[in-house]
Amino acid sequence: MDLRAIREAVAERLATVPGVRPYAFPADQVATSIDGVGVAVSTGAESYVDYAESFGPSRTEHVFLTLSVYVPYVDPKSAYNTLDELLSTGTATSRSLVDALMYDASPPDRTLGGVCADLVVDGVENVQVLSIESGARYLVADVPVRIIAKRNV
Amino acid sequence: MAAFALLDVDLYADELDLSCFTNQVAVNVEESVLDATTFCSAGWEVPIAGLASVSWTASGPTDMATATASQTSAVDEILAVDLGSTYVLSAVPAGGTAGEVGYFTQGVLMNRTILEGAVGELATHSVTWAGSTRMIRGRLEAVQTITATGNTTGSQLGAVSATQRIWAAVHFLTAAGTTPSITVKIQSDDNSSFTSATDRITFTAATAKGAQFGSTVGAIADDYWRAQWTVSGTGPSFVTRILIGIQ
Repeated sequence: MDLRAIREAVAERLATVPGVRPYAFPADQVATSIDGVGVAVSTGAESYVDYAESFGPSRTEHVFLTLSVYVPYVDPKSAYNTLDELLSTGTATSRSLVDALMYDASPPDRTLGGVCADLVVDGVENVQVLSIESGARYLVADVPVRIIAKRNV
Repeated sequence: MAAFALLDVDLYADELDLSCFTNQVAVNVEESVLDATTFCSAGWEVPIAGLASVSWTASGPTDMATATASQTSAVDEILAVDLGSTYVLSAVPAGGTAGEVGYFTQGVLMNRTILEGAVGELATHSVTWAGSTRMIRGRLEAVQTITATGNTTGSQLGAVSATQRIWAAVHFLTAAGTTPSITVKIQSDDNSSFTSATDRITFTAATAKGAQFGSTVGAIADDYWRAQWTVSGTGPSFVTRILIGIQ
């Protein structure tokens, strides 16, 4: 299990969403450079990796990531419309972050090109308006992602 | 050996390395209790042992993959339709290093929860075997990818008395090559160099993934034991686990 490869694979998949600029590293390093909608891949809020989920040398491991979605907050209506568009699923939207990870094709590839066994997008948390040092404001939401991997995969 | 964390437990069910599909395991032996209490028991119950039994339960992540001959099998493929079938079961509590203590037996697949879990959670399974043979406490004799005829170094397990048997379990986790074949024997001798080795258990030739289980009754005065194998075919390769024990 290659954590860096998983983070980068998640970011690469998010890059397929029109108008989204993904970062494969934590948000506090990229917030000031965000141009438009940015999504930062960071570690899970409570846990990053649970190693021993099964016995044996190829044991199952869980990786927890958080996608922090940054939408420029020019006005509430446009910011929330954009965020909702990114967080909607199925035919309701043409640029869903969730579908980019879980339903990218038919059948979907939730192995992220082979770097993990499966992944699940759990929900959306901590929606808030955030001001950064430059004075810019963003509508921010956290999207927890659980990834199942094998030690030797 | 001191107390240890359950991390590298090796569990085998026939050709399946169950370890990677298990995060909870229970290997249990017990005697049924017969009540022999009488009026002469001075007010105390007098239990005596009845029939002994073995049970194995395991649960953990499931996998629906289908493996080729050269790949290790996934759990659903091996346990899918075999309720009532007998499996060779082995457990090496402290991991798969040759020389570690290993328990092994044969068990009948009695119960299986194929799929369990809530939406979005890890897909899990559980399985229970009822032992059809006694539990043997032995050692993991071989952890090898076997490609040519050879043998283990062997060790001084001890002599086998007239009331004991030498037992062995062999797991072939993969079988690759063109017409691969392997015949495993358990041999004994009275010296560590095995200069006059005697075949005690001869398994049938294996040409595919699988497992075999065998025993030979004592008395056997030899106290050194090893596994020996004869391999044929073009580019043969068998990922193999062999356990032996005297009980």
